[in-house]
Amino acid sequence: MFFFLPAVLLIYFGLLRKRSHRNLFFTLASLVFYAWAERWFVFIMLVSIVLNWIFGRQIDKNKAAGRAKPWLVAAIVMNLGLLGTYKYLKFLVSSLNAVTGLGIPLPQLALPIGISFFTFQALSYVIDVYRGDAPVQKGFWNVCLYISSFPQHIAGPIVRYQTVSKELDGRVETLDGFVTGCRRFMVGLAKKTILADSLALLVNNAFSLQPGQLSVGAAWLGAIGYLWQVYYDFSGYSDMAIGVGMMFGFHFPENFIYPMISRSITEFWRRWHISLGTWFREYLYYPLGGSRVKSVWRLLFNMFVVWSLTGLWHGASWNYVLWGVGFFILLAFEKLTGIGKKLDKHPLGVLYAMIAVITITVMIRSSGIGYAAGYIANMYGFHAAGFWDATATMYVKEYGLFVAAALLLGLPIGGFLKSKLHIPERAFETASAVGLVAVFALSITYVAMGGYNPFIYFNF
Amino acid sequence: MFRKRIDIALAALLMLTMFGIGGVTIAQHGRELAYAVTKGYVNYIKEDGQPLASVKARVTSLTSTINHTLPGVDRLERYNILFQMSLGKQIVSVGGQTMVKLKTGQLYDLLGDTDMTDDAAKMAKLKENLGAMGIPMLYVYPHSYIYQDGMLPDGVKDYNVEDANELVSGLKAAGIPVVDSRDVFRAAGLTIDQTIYRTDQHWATPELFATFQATCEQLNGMGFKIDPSLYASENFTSETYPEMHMGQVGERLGAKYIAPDDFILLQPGYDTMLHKKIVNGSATSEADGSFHDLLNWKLVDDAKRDGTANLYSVFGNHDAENWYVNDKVPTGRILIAKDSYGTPFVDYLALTAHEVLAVDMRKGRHSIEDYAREFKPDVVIVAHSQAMLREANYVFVE
Repeated sequence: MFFFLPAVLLIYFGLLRKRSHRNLFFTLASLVFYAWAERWFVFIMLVSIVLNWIFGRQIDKNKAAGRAKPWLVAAIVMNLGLLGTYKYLKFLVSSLNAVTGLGIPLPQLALPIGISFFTFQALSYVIDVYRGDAPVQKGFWNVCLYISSFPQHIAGPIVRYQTVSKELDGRVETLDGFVTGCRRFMVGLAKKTILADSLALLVNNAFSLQPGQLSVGAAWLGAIGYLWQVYYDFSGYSDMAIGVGMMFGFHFPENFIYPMISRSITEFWRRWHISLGTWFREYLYYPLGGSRVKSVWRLLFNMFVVWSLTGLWHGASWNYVLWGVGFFILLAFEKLTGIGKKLDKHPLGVLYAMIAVITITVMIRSSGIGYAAGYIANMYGFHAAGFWDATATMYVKEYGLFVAAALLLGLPIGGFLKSKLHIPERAFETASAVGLVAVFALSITYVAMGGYNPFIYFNF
Repeated sequence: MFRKRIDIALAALLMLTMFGIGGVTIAQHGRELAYAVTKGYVNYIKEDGQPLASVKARVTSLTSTINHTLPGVDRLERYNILFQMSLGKQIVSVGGQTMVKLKTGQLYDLLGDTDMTDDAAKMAKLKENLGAMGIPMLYVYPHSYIYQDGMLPDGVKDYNVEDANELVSGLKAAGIPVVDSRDVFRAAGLTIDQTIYRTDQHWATPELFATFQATCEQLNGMGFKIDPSLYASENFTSETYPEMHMGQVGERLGAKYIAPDDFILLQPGYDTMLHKKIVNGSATSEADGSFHDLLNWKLVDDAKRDGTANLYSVFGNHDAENWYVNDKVPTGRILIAKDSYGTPFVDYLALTAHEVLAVDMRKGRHSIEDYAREFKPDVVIVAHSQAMLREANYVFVE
């Protein structure tokens, strides 16, 4: 933050004028940024980029003659093969061993950071070119820039190619964009360092206890802490990515729009990790037929495929698959009964949606399905260490203010207060800026204090 | 328009902060940063055959140097801790550590539940490989100890003792002799005030000295011939520096939150003559003198002048390698793999053998097995606290 970004800004705006030079430099900076964390795996990313560039060109070349499909299939197989090898091979082998009793040695492959994100962006490139939704990039470096762009390549938002294709060559860096991006970056930094990392301490403690050692209150505080930790961690990263993108003239899509005010699970997924939902909808759900299918069973099949894969996308374990399936069940229930639409109009819908999401999300924080089941049982009073205990009191004393701030700031309180209290525009803007300066100063102290707290979504 | 002006001001603040901190760091510590990349990185190379190991080490070395050279980092840390304390917290996050303030006042590094089986297995493998070279092995377990109920803040759970039990029983099951510091200070009747500092989780001198004595007894039980007079309590003098010690964590939390500790220094009353060579990467330094001469007395002067200092470092820093040659003892070669707990421990151990090589496994260049092959010791001692053992993949065996 104090070296890489300033250096990139200085060279990009201070020394380079031509778009091609700026793009080339931005791409190289992105590769260095990735290599800083992953060294060896930057070559994997480069191989992926080269192949996708070639596939994109072949798809474009053969489109008029109707021979593009094999190239698209090859591109999809290559991308999913790469993702499958690094992310899912070990999971597949261990599952196979568990089912068949075979003792196939587990492949020991490290997971490259952000592979799910850059692979999905690469897929977006070849599919959009195939569909004619965006033009092919003749030059290699623009494909490289799109897939490796440092603000968001390791934890999103997943930017569809058609969204930014015109900005690769035609973006305009403006003062407005730059300063708005800076503000957004500061908000994201504060979300991550102050809220997410503080909640992490509560969550780590709660999930280090064995089910049965937790009271109902402690289990709920741990689970609530985790959902909000993920929210501030990931939305903080997204804010920083969107902000840095704006500094350089890019407009990345919003990834979160107050998901905690959702009144149904359907609405929740319209507000949470929007770029992933959009990706699955555009490139999988609609091609499968979406909801415009003749039978309910086909609809359920389509939803099941999308949501189990959404779970699997987040992580290679049955916990994640069950997490996705859990959402599938709730979404199917809402869709088939029509209750989702009714809940959308009822304030109690928020309670239902949050309880459901908090409960399901325990699945991905747990070390295994058994642990998750035990933890959730504790939350609902089964085998719990009472309703409330000293641990729950300690959580409130030590982390209560952070939890309260997290809950409050997850709501659109700014606009609400402004309209309810009739705060003049200038006073509101001044107060917001003063608040932001204060939390920015605090977040700098957290950054200075160090302690490696990687973003949760780096692992997804 | 007003919003735009505010955004410009905020952007200016962000840019000033980033460029300011980054620029000042480079201006003030450019040479250190360059050294980290060009030379200092060798401390971070693990000879594990990983591709791009040198690049990885350079990145780690540079990152580590940046982290401790950021201008005003200590002040910023203090502000952060002040913020946490102003919220009335008894559990304070200090960088990567979670420090708990015990009801008795000590700071304590809270440990979560960790499976220590792999660590015990790693030690068993080391014992086996050393055994093939004809070198016996001893594990000295330093424990940051809580043995009284009700000392943690209400509701806080800690797995230090359970995990220590798991580790020690795993080591014993593998046939590794263990000096468990918990047994030592139970036997010596040491209280919590005497075992760990309030301002740090490190062990205080009486505890480490008692553990040193037990280690000597254990080595003699294994067939070594250490002269008991070299570690007998009556042959050591004790000096107390009241309320002068602020451990590293205590320094960050400040005296107002956690009062300074008394620092006790034990020194041999008999004649000593040691050669000490310190190796950190390609940098080396050497000194000759008595046990007394080799201590860092400047820190004591600092403490007298400023009120407090980190007197734990009187025994030295946590260097990559410390080589001792003791002219007064004709025999004995000891190789010890240690962490920060071992730093003062090694100073006392050096009084009992002709040569002692102490390797800080966080910085050493080889596996401990390779060090043993090179140094050919009579015994290898591993003195690793549980926190260090569970945290990192130190290379003990090839």
